[in-house]
Amino acid sequence: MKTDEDRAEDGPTLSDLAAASGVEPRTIRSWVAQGLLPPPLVLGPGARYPMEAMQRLLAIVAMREDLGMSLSDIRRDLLVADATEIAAHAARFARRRTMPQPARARGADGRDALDYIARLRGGAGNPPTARPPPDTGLAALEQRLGGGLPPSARRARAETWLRMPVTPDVEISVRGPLDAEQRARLERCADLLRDILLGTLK
Amino acid sequence: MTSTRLLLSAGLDRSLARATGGSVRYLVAEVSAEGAASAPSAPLDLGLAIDVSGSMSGGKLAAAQRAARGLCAAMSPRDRLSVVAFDNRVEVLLHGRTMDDEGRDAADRAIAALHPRGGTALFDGWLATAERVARTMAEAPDASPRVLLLSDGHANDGLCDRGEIAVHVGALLERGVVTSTLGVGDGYDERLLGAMAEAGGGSLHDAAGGGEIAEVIMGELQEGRSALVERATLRVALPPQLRAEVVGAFAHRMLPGAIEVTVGSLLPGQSKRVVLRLFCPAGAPGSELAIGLSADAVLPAGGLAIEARPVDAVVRLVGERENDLQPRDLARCLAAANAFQAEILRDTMARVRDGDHAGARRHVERALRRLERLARGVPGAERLLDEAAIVRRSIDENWDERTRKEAYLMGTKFSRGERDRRAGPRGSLSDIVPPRR
Repeated sequence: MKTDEDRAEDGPTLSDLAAASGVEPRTIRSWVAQGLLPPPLVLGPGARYPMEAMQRLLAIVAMREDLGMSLSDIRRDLLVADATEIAAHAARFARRRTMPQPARARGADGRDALDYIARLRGGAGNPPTARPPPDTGLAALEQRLGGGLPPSARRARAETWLRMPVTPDVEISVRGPLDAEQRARLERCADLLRDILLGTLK
Repeated sequence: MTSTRLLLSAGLDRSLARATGGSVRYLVAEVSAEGAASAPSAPLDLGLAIDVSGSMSGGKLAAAQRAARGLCAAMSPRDRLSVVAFDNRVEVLLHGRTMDDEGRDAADRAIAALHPRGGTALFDGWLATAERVARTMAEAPDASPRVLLLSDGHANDGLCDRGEIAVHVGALLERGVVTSTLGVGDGYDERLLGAMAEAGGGSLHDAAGGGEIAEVIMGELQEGRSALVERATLRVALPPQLRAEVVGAFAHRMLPGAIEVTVGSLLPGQSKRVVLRLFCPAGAPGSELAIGLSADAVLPAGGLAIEARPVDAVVRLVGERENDLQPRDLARCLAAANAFQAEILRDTMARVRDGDHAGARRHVERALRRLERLARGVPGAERLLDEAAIVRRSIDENWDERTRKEAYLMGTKFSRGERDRRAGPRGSLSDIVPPRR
């Protein structure tokens, strides 16, 4: 039976991860710190990561670049994703590196230009895919720097965030709302994460 | 396989921020394309939306007609042209005709039939043209679909809301149709036409007089032909606690945890620089805020998507002393100051246009103090400060429509890294501001 150290010899190094994904090593370290990726099994120069780190990293890149997901959304999805789902995202990464992609001639709603115009003309409650730019620029800067802080974008969108402390330096932030079962699952994740970070995993 | 590559680089003016919060940092991203100059250009699927409202009489419409005829003559038999006239109603005069001899004759007849009429249903005119272009696009998917809208006035019929119009223009860009706008004369609504061009991935052009209309239209044709990529989009993924906003004249969308910036077309040798202002939160000293940047675009011929290699930028939170002692990246400071000055210019012109001279003065004074802090000790930034100071001193002077438009356009072109397509030389900002009384 393999020990952690044996497994560590098989796992990818930081350089391997960076080379395979095109992501800068310091970004990978930052993602590890943010809990998106598992930490190396053995610390020090030439540290090796668990085997699953590679697939997870490729999945993150694909989710970020293909699906336009933020790191916080990715973190939330990965918390509840099983190995098959992560592998599916990683496979998307492989496809996008080897195949030319078709033009994005359709919007996020799947409609092409003619569909969009027809819907607009039909007055069928056209849901714009973009919103007008928010109040940015000097006005926003002055408000922020000169006092009178405007409501934050997050509050303006009435979003709920659940912040779950893991260690004094780490917390899990999840965009809600979450039901009781989801909260319970996340709490189990936080417990597991805490054990991993503190080295108390049995 | 394509030899065209999309390039992305990014960095911060300063990479350290106070752990106690309140630091403002500038992220500077540069997007460019490189490819073989000998690559055959894609055919064009161009739609011309021409304002024929009453105000276009008196020579402007005649100049637009001459320019449109010149455009037909310059298009190749591979290109297709649609022509739509709009006042308070919309008339499709030509739909997706290939510009062979027969097509040119048909286009000439359609253009000759234009005459000035009533109000300005600008949105309807644009929409009808975009529809013609989209129909042609469905028939000839290898063509590069573009709309060029010419107008000398304000939208005063149908949908008139600037923000909503820009949303629809952006939605059509997402679906492949690029929009550029050309303001003719001194009475057009530069904020509306600017917002349409920014959301549409094209350019805002200005033509003060008849001859310039032809120069700009031919420039747009040239731009359509030589673009290495179109619909370039920059996506900036932000950590949840970091707030950011775009500085300058780029349309953008705020997504959960990310900002998506419409960069538009990229020509050979052209680099578009997007500046974001970051409002750094408080945090544990030593913690890092990682920002991920990625960019994609499509090739004009065939619409294949290409991507740039993603890059990252990291802001590290540190103590007061370490923050104060950090070096600045002077080139990025200058880039941020350029974008900031362009923002000041555009915002000030918008207030002057609305007659709010006092508000414009307060605005520019506060902004200038911040610009001074950003630009202090940065080689090359003195001119930016001088120009902003000239604008401040001249706020209460008589800014006529032409002067204001030149200043607005200068701010837009400068911050977007675009060329002015007019042949006549334009001076610096200090040459165009009104003389002091």
